[in-house]
This record gives sequence, structure tokens and C-alpha cells, in this order.
Amino acid sequence: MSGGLPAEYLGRRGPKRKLETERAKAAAAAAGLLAAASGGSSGGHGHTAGAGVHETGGHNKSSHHKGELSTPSLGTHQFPKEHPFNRDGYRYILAEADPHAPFRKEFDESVDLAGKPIPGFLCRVLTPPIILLAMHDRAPQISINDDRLTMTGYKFYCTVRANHSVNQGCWYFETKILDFPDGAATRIGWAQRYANLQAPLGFDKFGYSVRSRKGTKFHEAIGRHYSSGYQAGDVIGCLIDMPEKQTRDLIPSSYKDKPLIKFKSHFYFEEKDGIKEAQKTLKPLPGASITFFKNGESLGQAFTDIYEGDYFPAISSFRCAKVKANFGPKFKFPPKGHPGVRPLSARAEAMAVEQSLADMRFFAEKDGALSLDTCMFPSP
Amino acid sequence: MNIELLESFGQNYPEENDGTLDCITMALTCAFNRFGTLLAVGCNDGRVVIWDFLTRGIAKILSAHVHPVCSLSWSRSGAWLVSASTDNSVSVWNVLSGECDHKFRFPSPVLKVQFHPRREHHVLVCPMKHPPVVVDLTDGSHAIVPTGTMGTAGTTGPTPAEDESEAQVVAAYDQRGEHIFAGNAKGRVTVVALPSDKAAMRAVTQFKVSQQVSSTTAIKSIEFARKSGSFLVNTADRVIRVYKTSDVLNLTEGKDPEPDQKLQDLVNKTMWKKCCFSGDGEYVCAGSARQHALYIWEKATGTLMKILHGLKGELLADVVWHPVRPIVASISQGVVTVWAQQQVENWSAFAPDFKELDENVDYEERESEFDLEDEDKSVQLNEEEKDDDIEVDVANNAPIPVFCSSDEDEEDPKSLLYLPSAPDIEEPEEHYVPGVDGSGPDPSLESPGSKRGAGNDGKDTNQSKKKRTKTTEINLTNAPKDEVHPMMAKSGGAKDKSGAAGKRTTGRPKAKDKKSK
Repeated sequence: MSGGLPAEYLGRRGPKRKLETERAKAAAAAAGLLAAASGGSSGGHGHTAGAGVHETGGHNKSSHHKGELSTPSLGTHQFPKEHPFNRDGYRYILAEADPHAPFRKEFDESVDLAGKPIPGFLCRVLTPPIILLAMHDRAPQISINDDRLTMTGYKFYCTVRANHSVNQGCWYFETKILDFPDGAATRIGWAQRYANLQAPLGFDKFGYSVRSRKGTKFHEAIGRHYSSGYQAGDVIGCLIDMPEKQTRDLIPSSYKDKPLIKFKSHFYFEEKDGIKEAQKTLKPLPGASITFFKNGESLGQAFTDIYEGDYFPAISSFRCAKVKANFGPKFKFPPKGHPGVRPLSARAEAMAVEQSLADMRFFAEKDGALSLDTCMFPSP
Repeated sequence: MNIELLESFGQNYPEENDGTLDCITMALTCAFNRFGTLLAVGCNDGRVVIWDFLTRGIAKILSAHVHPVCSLSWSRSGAWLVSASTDNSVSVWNVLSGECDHKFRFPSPVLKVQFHPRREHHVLVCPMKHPPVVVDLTDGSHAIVPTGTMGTAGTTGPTPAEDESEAQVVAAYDQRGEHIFAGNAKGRVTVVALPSDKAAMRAVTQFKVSQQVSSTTAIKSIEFARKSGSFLVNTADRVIRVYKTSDVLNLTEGKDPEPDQKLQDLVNKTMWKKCCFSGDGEYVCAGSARQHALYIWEKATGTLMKILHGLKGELLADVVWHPVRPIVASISQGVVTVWAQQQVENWSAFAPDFKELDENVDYEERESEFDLEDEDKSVQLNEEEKDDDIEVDVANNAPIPVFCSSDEDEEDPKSLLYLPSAPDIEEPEEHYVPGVDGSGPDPSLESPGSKRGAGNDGKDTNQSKKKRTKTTEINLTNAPKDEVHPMMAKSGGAKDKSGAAGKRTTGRPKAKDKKSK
């Protein structure tokens, strides 16, 4: 595995002590969840009824898994203090133990798998319960306050994304410019997951932004006249409108086929980013548009027929500009003239449902093909 | 090499030892060509070693004489080299072919030879205890430079030198060869005008460097700057006097000109062995006669800028300044030492927008750093971009200013800047002809000196096939016969007299012993 992190971070089983095994067995039995892992043939459908939706709020409730896969619990606003950053061509997705994965019992009980990589399907994506600025999906130079809504930039342009994306429907969030030091600037808007974090938003094909200076709108590093600009104290609203009916598959990736790494006692799926492939397959989405608002006043449609994909709220800051994001549901200036618009805060729950759907689909597709020994990277 | 890029602002004099050039044998005298590309070094065994000064490698070895070489001079174009030996002979060499074009025999030892700064066929020769002689290379004729006391009227022709001390004359061409400046042992400088046609030379003015009439004001040498119209007179009173040429030429009758600068070592009262100007004429460099030490003064102010010290106990033989760059070559103990400035790599000279930093500086990103296009960009930025385009003329060959004389615009197209280098023959045995050595002339018949100079590269056999060298005997009336060259006198006399002079120059008798074996 030639990942972005050294090989020692690869999630591996440690040597198993007997006591631990006993305890895990007891815990599993008490929870009565053995059915989920009992048989490969029926397990795929077995857990759909029991746990349709991820338990949002983390896995702290599932104290019955004390085994190899247990991780420290996290509060709703929390993210592991030390975590890998998305950079250098790799992305890391925080994971938790999947209580519905097959072979959980066998995994916890087995002793001969010590030192071998933990199969990815035993974990699932940890869907954050509320929408915040992402801790790991930002340029490391950016500092984020404890509320995880306020960001302060650095000397040069760098970008932070939110932790949830949207891909259909009409969504809105607003940002307030808190502090503009001398020479500072911001570019605020929407970014796909591959937009470069060490560049202003709108530098590549994956981002759309409006600049504070002269209100120029940017996409693919090309600036066009748009509005008159904004200063400290202004509230900039960002609205994205994408058709509900799209031809592409809108269910997110389960990441269960990705290698699992353990970093400071937390698990992450490691994914190689596919920027080049993604750039080639980008195609405009007719009817999709982005509109910006300044203190409640619409500045007009900035971009139309934007590329289809998953869009995250994103903020770029130059020379330490300080911006606070508000993902709703209470907005200072709710957008006018856009019926059906939803605050981005409503996205977290929907995202958890979609993620569970993705997990279910993975198990259904891989039914019978998964095993603890061989299927670290199941062949498609 | 682009000399303008090498030029460092401010200090234009050498500051540190930049290595040595080892000619294997004892080096005695050296001379740069007019461009500073080649350095000719005259050696104790009669050879002249021509160094390519850019690569610091030997470009050619001329087996010029059988006795030590005491003076060298390049012609203006660099195509000819004149060498004088202690055996009273003067040879003119074609530098490219390595052939001797002319050979002159003088009745008395030759102290100095100098090519005319402009005319390729005139050589100034200073024989010992005789007025200087100008030799015409086209027909081998010679003319004696009139250096005697000028008549009271000032316009009458000079009388031949009668006093022996008056006859000891050193001379030099001025910057453009319009005059010869000759100085005698009594501190008198005579300026002789050189007519452009065949008319006779005549003295135009005379002055004394000092009013004291004593032997200490004996003039040891006169040196002209390549530029800036100055010359210096090195006298036995340990003072270097720097004059303006124009001051001396416009001298009113009976008056002595005031020197611009009087340079001396007040602490050690050093006697100067050899003096020279820097290439731009802004500095004067003098080599001490007692030790390997070079003093560099700024000509305009007379300030002592730098003293360059060689190893202790070394004696200086010669010092020359590179004609173009702040480099000095000095000879001491038979080795050429090069003095230069510390080389600071200046990469920004190759890329003007490249900024060199002493310390790390955080790059300040512009707000527009990543933008390909910005409709709201300020207009000023566009104008800045326009300034970047400067047409560089790469089609025409611009003359290098430092290679042109101040009164010329063009470089001399005939000049010889570099010597071609033949590829090394990997196996010289293939060309070895066994008959040459065995059946050739008996080695014992050859003079020992020429055998030494020939080496084993077959140069001697090649030279014998070439055209015969024109040899001209120069007969000088009043010239002292059977004199020993002053350079040899010290070592030669040491054997007979075992005097104190022998002890001071312990290096030379050894070399001479070796040679006579």
C-alpha cells in the first residue's frame, strides 16, 4: 500500500490477549447482534431492518464493541484532535466500527489474524451529525475556532470546505465577514471535493466563488465582472440550485473497499484522489446554477450550467481574513424568491441516510464475496 | 566570456591569492597580451611558456633561447611576441605557428624589449649602457633614440651620450606610441617624438624627476597606463612618481612637472622591483624588491588600498596587471602567482528577474497570483507587463569595449586572442621514428641548452625543417662589449667573487648549474 501516510499507520490487528477476546465475546453476545455477522449468505439483508440509519452522534453508544475496532468517543462538535489532512493526492475519511458488518464476531474472536490489515468493510463512514467546517478537509494553515464555524486565513490564499456536500435540490448558507486586515480578501462559494485547498476558490474547474475585491466572480482562474464587492461586516449568502432529477448515481461512496488506516487511535478510509479522471469526466449540469447574495440582496445568477457533482460550502481567505459561516437553519437574511430552498443544516440527516444506503448497497453487492482473509480489496 | 558580467562594482583590484601557474622551470618574466587572454612567461632555461589565461593551461611552449629570458612583449594584435635573452639576443616569434621570424644579436645585454603599441613592425630595445634602439622588423634596420642632453635652444638635435651614467637609459613607448619616454641614471626623462613617416626621431622635451643631483634618482623604469593617459617613473630613491602625459608634453621650457602622486612605502622604505598600472589605469601596483609583496595604490588619491603578501622569504621577479580584469600576476621564486578578487557567483546577472537573498524571506503572494484572467484587474498591471519586453540584438556582433582602444570603435579583426589546441595524441609511440634519434646529428654536438628546450615531443625536428630565421647583427657604436647581463651578474659573479650577492639569490645558481650539465 503506497498511501499518503506511512505503512505503519495501516490499520492492523495487534496481538490478541485472551482476556480481551473473552470480554469481546461476552459483549457481542449480550448485544444480540450475532445475527448480523452470523452468515454471509443472509447477513446482507439481515441488518437492514435493524439499523436502517447510522446512529448519528457517533458510536459512543455502541459500547458493546470493545475489540480491535473500538475508538474513542467524539462529541457532536468534535473531530479527532490529531488527524491526517486531505493533501498530496490523498483523502482521509473518518470511520467507525460498522456494527452491521459480517464476520464481526469472527474478527473479534480470531487470534491468527494478528498483524494483518483490518478489512475495510468492518468499518463505515462516520457521518457527522451536524454541518460544520471540516477539520481535515482544509489547508492546514487555516485555523478554525472551537465553534467550527469561524475560520481565520493565512498570509496567502487557502481554502476550507464544510463537512457535508449537496448534489441535488436548492441549498443555502451564509457567511459573515468578521475581520478584514489590511490587504485581505476572500473568495466564497461552492467547491467539489477535488477543488485545490492551497489556492483560492475558483482556481480550478471544481470551484465557483465571488471575491470581496470588486465583487468579481471566479471559476477556472478566470475572473468576470459580477458585483460591486463586499467588506467586513457584510453577510454573503451562497445559493446552489441543482435539478432533483439527475442521470448520475447520487448515492455516495461507502468507502468500504478502501484501505483502512489507524491514525492516533482513530480509523480512516484512505482514498487516492482522482483529480485527473474527475477533470475528464466533468460535464455541465443543465439547469444548475449558483447565486450569491449580499446582505439579503440577490446579486444575480453568477454561474449557470455548472458542472455536475457534489458541492461543499467553501471559503478561501487571503491575508488572514476572518469569516464565520452560518449553515442555518436560522439565517440573518433568508434568501428571497427561491421557494424550496433548504438550509444546509438540513443536509446532515439526509447525508446519514444516504451513507447507510451506500453501506447496504455495498454489502448487497458483495454478498458472499467478503471474508476476513482475502477481501481486503474485493475485486469488483 | 562576457567581461561586463564579470565586472564588480567598487573594488577593482585583486584581494587574494588565486593560485599559481607552474611552468616546471624557473619563471623570470611575464607579459599579458593586449586582451588578457594569453600570458607569456619567460623562463630560466630559455623557454617561453604561453598560458591560456581563461583555462589556466599551457597553450604553447616556445623554445626561444638557450639562456634565460629577461624580457617579453606582445604586439598589438597578439600575433607576434618579442623576447630578449641574457645572451644579448632578441627574437621575434609568430605566436600561432611558434616559428621564430627574426633574430637580432646585440653587442651588449638587452634589458627590455617592447613592441610599438600600434605598429606591428617596430620594437623598442633597451641595451645596457646604451641609448635605446628602435628596430624595424620589415628590413632589420635600426635607429638609435636620441636621449642626450638637449641643446639650450631646445630645438636642436641631441648630442650622443658621453657620460656612462647618462648612457644607462630605460625607455618606454607612450600609450599610443607617439612618443618614447627615456629615463637615465641621473633622473632625467627625455621625451622623443616618433614621426609617422621615416623621418628621424627628435627629442621634444626633457625634465628631471627630482632636483637632487645624486645617484638615488636613477630611473629604474617607466611604465604607461593602457588608459587614462598617465605614466609612472620608478626611481632608485624608492618613490614612484605618477605623471600625466599631457602635463609633460605641454611642459614649458626649463620647468619640471609636478607629479600627480608620489607613492612610497614610508614604513619600510621599500625599493620597488617592478611597477605597473591596472588595466583601467585607476590603480598602481608595485612589487617590493626585498620580499614577495605587492602594494596597490589608488592613482587618483594616492591611497594605499591593499598589500598582497606572498610567502615569507620569497623574492619578487616581475609583476604585471591583467589588461582588462582586476587580476595581477607576479613571479617569485620561479613560479607565477595569480592574484584576483574573490569570485562571488552572480546568477542574477543571467536572469534579471532573479533575486538573490541572504536570508530566507517569505514570499508575499499577490491576491491575483492564481488568476489567469481578471476583468476587474487594475489597469496599471498591464503597463508593467509591457516593460518586460526588451529587444535583444542577437544578430550583430557588438565590439567588446574593453578590447577597443579609447580612440577606436572597432576591434581589430586580425587580433589573435586564443591559440588553437591540438588534440592529445593518445599513443605517441606510433609516430616515433627510430632513425631520428640514432642517425641524427650527434647529440653531443648540440648545445646543451637547445637539447633541454626541445623536450621529447619532436618540436625541434619540426623546427629545423621550417624556413630559416632571419638573423641580424646589430652593431652599436659606443656599446659596451663583453658585459654580463645584470640578471646573470648576480649569480654569475657569485661563483667567482663569492660575494654577498650570491647569498641573497640562492635559487639561481642552482638552476644555472643544472643547465650547464
